[in-house]
Amino acid sequence: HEREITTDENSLYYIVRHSKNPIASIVDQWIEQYKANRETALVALMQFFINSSGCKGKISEDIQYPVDHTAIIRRMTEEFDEESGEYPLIMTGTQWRKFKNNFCDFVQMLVRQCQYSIIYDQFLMDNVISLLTGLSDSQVRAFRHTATLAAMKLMTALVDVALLVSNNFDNAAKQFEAERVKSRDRRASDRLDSLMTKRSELEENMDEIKSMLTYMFKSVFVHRYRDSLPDIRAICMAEIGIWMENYPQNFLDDSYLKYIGWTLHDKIGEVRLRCLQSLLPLYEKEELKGKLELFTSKFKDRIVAMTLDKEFEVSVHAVKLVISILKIHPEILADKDCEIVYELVYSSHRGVAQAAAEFLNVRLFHLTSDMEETKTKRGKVRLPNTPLVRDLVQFFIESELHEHGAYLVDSFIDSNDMVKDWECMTDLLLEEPGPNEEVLDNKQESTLIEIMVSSVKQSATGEVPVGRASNRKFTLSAKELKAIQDEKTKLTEHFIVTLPSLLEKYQADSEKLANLLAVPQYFDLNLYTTNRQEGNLQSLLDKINQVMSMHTGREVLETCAKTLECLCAEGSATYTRCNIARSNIIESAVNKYKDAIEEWRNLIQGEETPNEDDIYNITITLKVLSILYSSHNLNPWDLFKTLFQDVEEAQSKENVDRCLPNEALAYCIEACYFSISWGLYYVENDCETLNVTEVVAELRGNLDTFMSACFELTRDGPTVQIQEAAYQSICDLLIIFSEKLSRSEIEHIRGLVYKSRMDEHLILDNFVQHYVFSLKQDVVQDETRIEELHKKRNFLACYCKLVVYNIIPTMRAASIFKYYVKCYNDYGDIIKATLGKAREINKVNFAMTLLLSLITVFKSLLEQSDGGMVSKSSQEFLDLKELAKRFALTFGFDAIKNRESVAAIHRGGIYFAANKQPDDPVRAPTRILFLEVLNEFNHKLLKQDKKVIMAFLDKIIPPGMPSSRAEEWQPLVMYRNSLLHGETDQAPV
Amino acid sequence: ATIYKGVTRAKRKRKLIIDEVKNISGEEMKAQLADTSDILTTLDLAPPTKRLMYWKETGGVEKLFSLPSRSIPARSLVNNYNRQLFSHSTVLEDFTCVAPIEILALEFCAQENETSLIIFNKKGRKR
Repeated sequence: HEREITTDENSLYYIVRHSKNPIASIVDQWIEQYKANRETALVALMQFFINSSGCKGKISEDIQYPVDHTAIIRRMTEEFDEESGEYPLIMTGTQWRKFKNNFCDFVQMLVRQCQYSIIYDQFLMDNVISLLTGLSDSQVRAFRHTATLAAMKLMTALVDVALLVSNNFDNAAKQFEAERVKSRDRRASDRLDSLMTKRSELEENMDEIKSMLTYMFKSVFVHRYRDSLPDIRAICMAEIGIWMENYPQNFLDDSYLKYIGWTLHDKIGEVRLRCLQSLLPLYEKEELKGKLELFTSKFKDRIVAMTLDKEFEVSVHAVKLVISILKIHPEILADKDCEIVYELVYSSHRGVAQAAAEFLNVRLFHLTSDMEETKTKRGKVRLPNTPLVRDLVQFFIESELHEHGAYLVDSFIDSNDMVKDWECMTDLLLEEPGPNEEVLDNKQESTLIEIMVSSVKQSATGEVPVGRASNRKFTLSAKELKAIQDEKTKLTEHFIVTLPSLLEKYQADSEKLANLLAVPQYFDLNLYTTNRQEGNLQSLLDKINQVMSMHTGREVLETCAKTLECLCAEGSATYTRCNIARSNIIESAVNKYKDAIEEWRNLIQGEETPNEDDIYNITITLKVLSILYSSHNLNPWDLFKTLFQDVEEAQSKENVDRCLPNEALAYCIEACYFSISWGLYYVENDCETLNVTEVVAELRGNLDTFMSACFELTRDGPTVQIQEAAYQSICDLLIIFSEKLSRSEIEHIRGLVYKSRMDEHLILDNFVQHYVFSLKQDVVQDETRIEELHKKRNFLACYCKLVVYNIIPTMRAASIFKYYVKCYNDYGDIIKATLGKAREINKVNFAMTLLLSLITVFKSLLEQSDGGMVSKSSQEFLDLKELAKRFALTFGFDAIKNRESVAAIHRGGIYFAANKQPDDPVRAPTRILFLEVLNEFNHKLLKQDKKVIMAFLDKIIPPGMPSSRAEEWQPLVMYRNSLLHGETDQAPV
Repeated sequence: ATIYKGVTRAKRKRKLIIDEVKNISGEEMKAQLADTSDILTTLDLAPPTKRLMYWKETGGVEKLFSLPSRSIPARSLVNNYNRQLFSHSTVLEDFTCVAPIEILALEFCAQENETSLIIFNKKGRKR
């Protein structure tokens, strides 16, 4: 909306605000006016400052001279009556931002265009400065703020004038000197005189400008730099920086710098940021170095401390300033100062981390001319980055803050190409050290591999590690995509050749392997064929085969399976060769499992007790199998029957001692789950129409038997691990085979929907109640505790998803909702999201579920209570009321939308509260206290509905029951009263 | 709901902002020079281990609601799961465990046919 401060189209304010003419020409026009009549022009200018503050007051044309500015300000303050506290400088929107810029430009342009004569006329500047000084001291914030900005911009413009005059003076003085030393006969006497006049004129002007500056500094800046309004302080800090930069001879001095130094301690981040932004350009200039030395040593500690400022922008700038200090006054920084900055490369904030990396680049990681060239044992010259990479590895190890390289690499990836120097890195790992070289120890090798693979990942994908992406745009530009593709080509070409040797060298080391084996996932696979590298592809596949048969660590195996999946991408040039290798790998894993399970079953049959080796054997083979199953379709090997046999046996509990070891059983469950998933995929994508009926029937059977076994195992599994595996399988399959399959175009698919029953829902509910909300683990170690919490959050979300995606009824969430307040810290976000979705699905069901939830809690309080009465003052009851209050808030403020829902809550709640009448008819119903819980939903009722609810209440629990136990009836009295008088969210009709 | 449209909001009347205190006092200045602890923080470390990083990536409520409970590494299988993740409106459930339907005055809700409107996810930006 437009806010008209004045409708006078001739006013300067109106023109500056609305005119499309350049500011310079507006100023020119005003100067013309001034030349014609300086009094009226002055009034117009003063009026401009008043209007720009948002004040509509009008300065009278016939004021007395000399002007009494105090009187004018007093009158303007009286006439300053505004409907809002806003004024142009703080108003939002582009038009006001534009006005603010124009306002500043106008002030500066005015000085610039008056600089040769008018500013020395002892009229204009005296009056303007006097008015602005007065306004900048006003208690009226709009005046103070606007006048301070004008005064500071005026000073900035005067600083430019001073600089020019000072240069002119220097020139005139030089010319005068040159003329003076000339021999008398060669010098023109009138020229010397005119030079002298010019010199003294400039000197006078200089003095005049300086005295204006000094006056304004003392009467405006020195007060306003500590104004109670942060914006005003920020203006002061920004402008003083400009004066220092433009006119260092005068302003770059400790008597001025101290104001910035003090304000570095300001409570407001924005103000501190301005200080740093003012200081930064000063440090860029070599010639100012000496003038900053004292300031730097005085405020160094504070500046270093600011690298840990609460505001990220401030810390980024503080790091930049520390870099500048490092460049020009390195001796002022102590080692401990540097170490503070070092650690910031591990910050979760990308800007801070990158700035810290830049600091490290300047201090440690850059090439110098004195670096010695070294050679490997066989005489290959080490690449220039070698010492830097070695130092980086050492830095990473010694900082002991991170166990993985992703964030460190991200900090450096845009500023130092050492992290992408693949050849340098693989040479360090593969080439034997030359005579003058140190050998990398095991830790250094692992660290280097970690850094290298993290860098491969980020270089090939352009993905920033989680949490670091906040400041980045979401889509990459064509140029960025091209750069990523080039990087990918480069690293593919390099690692196609070197990776097999690396895998060979580290084949026994699972930590290093887990990293290295992931590298092909980032390859451009086509390069294998276009570069004729099939031999190296075969070596890689052989290595993977070998690793899968030797290793047992989860990470290594998973990485192998995943990499194999990438290599077998359909349509890629490598497919055929890789697919053969994959089949061989699967074949051998299947055979090993078959041998192991046969042996196991024979042992059991023979009533022998399996020894450690037998247990190990069956566990590992199943582990490999389930991991392969998660990435590859193993269904052609027909494993479901044999895998499920053990699951079923565990579930039947007939021969508890004959069951598979727990871990092995969990793998069986997982493998069966994947088998069923692949089954669905097969029916939809690959199955021949001829066989489809048969295949679907088999899948349907497998799904049903597996689900039923899993429900049984979730309810009553032998161990937590098994229960968890079964629970997760159920939750995921319920979604995969949900009702929504019935929308499929393929008829057979429509028949695969799994419809769950209420008893099954209860099993899941019980599992969540027990594992998520009851089971308490006393874990001290931080990471284990977090792991535990994540697991529980996952279990809870699994259940909530079933509600959210319409798989189980909303009412099944009642048992979850009741923990909304109690477990807010751990699960609040999940429960809140579920509440929101449930409301979208069906408002009434949602409302009734809330009521059900409250009733459940109330009932359990009754059960726990002594004498069947809930204590009104007990913490548990207060918590219940708080829960009800939070539930009521979820309805939002539109009472009309939720009319039926809220009314139903009241009706159902009253019915519940009235339901248990003690034998003595004079006594209140035992659940009457529940009305206090209901009362929390009172303001969600429309006024006319309150009457209806009241009538309903009086019918169910007749009022006016005279009783000696008046206290017992108190909840009814209270509830009735608030139905009669209570507030309603929506304005009553 | 239209009846409410006529209700006009009373215009807020705010007065001119007068700062009784224009300056930060000398005491405050001294105090802020002496103690900056409230404007400093400790290093906000990015997740220091791979596991913690993984949890940070997958542990938020939005991810929990869009990812399966057990991760599915096979790219071909992911769609089996993802395509099912939408919600639709449903019919009234049976709440007789709370109270008979006529007590709740919800009879008319029960007669409503299943409209089965698909509720589109108001999806936030992915990280």
